[in-house]
Amino acid sequence: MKKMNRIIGMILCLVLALSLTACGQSAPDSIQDAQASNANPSKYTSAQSVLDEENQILNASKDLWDKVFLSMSKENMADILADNYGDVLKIAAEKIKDQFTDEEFQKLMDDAQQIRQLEEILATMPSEETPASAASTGVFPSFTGKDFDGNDVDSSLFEKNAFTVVNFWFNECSPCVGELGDLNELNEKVKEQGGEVIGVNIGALDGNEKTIEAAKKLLEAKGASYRNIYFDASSEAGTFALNILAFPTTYVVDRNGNLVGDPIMGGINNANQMAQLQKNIDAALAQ
Amino acid sequence: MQKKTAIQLALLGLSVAMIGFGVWRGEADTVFAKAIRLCMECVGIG
Amino acid sequence: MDKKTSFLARFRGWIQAAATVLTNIHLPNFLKGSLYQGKGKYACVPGLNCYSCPGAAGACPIGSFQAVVGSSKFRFSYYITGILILLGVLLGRFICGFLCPFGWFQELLHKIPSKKLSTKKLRPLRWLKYAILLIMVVLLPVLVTNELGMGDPFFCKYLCPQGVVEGAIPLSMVNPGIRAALGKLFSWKMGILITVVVLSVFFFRPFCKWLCPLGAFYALMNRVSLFTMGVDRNKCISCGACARKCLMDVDITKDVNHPECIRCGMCIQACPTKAIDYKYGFIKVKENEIKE
Repeated sequence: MKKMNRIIGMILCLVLALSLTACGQSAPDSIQDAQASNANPSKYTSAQSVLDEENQILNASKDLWDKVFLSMSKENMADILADNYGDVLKIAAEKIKDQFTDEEFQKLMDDAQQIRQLEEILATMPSEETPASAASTGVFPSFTGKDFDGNDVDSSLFEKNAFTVVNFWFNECSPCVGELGDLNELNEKVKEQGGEVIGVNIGALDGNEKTIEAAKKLLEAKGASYRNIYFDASSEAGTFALNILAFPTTYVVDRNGNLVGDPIMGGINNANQMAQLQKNIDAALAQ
Repeated sequence: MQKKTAIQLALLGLSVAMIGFGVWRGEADTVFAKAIRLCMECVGIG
Repeated sequence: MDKKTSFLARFRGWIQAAATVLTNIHLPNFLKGSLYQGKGKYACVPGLNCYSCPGAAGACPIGSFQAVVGSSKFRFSYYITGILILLGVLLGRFICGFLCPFGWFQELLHKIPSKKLSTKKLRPLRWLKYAILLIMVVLLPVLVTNELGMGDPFFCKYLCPQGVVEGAIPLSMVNPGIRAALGKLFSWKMGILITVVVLSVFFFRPFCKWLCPLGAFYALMNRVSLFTMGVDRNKCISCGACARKCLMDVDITKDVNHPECIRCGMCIQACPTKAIDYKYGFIKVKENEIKE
């Protein structure tokens, strides 16, 4: 009986320890635990944690900031260019000041100010993971192919859009399929900014008919009407696509075919990832 | 123990038939498609 | 016959190591942070080994089962169940004892010096793995689906610690994009992994006993497996040394095909009269053997 009590005691201790670790403190590779609530430079352990903080601020007033982002189109972005992303946000918000109440506008200004400070901290950090306000991280290889309706496409589509959001997915991946509806919504939204969402189904490369049929069914069921394209697996673009390790992955490509910012890994139906995507889009517009 | 041997042989036959049927209806293709690409959430990354 | 059986039992550690390496043979992928994409992945490996492991040579049986039943086309997998029945009849829980990388991992942890605790009084926990098999692996991916009939691989996503050891950790070490994607779900899985790791130091193979759905399936197959144990009634002196030595809490003299016996052979080595032996094939029980 004594031994039994000891065992129960041990298990209880372990369960307590588990409940502590489940709060995310012990995950060695997780960067979530670096989220501090004040802009104190020494609190940030990495560039990513600063970016996470910025995204949190934007998410807190998502409705307000969505209006600002919508207003940023290729026509009026030319005069919003500024070094500090916080300033970019400030100017963009000021442009549509009359869409907000005094309170809301003040909140936007406060947020922009905080982000301005965070960007200054970011600038002092020695990091290769540069934020989306920096230049591009590579080029989307040129390609010729078709879309799922049989129309020819090639990389000239990038020039025709202010920016292109390219989402890589495959049929058997349930989170990929899960976000198809959200991607369609995003497509409707970015159309107004001159952008487009394009899907690339990895299994459909080389025009695999079975896969394309199945993919079409999934897209239809999710109400996703945006273009899905495929090209040769052996082409440069095919190699690029096949090298993608994890799904879903979403890239932002600017008018010149350059990749902007780091790829978003995981579904965009997550506030953090969505904010990151938004940053990449804004950077693409600013090119 | 004849009974046990009979059950074992029956299960061996059944398993081979099940494998064949599964491959025929495309299950092996599904296994392959999922196993060569990383669906992050599916393995607990996220 | 004696030489053969003691070889298996004596060199089990080496066989486990070899099985782990063979199961994850594509070593360069660990540095590249990529997955093996060849035809080997049409088939399953026998043990619990995540397909997201860069080195994995085949698919995980549990992961594959959930992938098939979680797809919009199928509600049940004949292919994977057929493979599992075949492996179960051919080898039974010999797979657990010799071929499963995660089993070996727990045994290595158990070698860390500490007070070792018995699981004899925690017997009821064994039923948990059958519940996990039934609910998380078989039912949930079919019952909890999106509008397309697609379900998540619930065991892989929410419970399996092997995916963290073999997939999440090696990949996030070499891939900054994956590192950035780690979030709440990963923290939860990491918590489970740490718990299993700590428990494995004090208890012998806690995951195998209480949580593993694959072990649960093979346990069901142990009774009809061709790989079995034999106890020579003429040599057995009922000293109980085997039962005392057994870390899976099995008395082999009472039941040679007990579902919890992973064929580790510690009883073979403990028996003073060499009465216990591995046996393979369609066994006709001889007179001098203990009936099942």
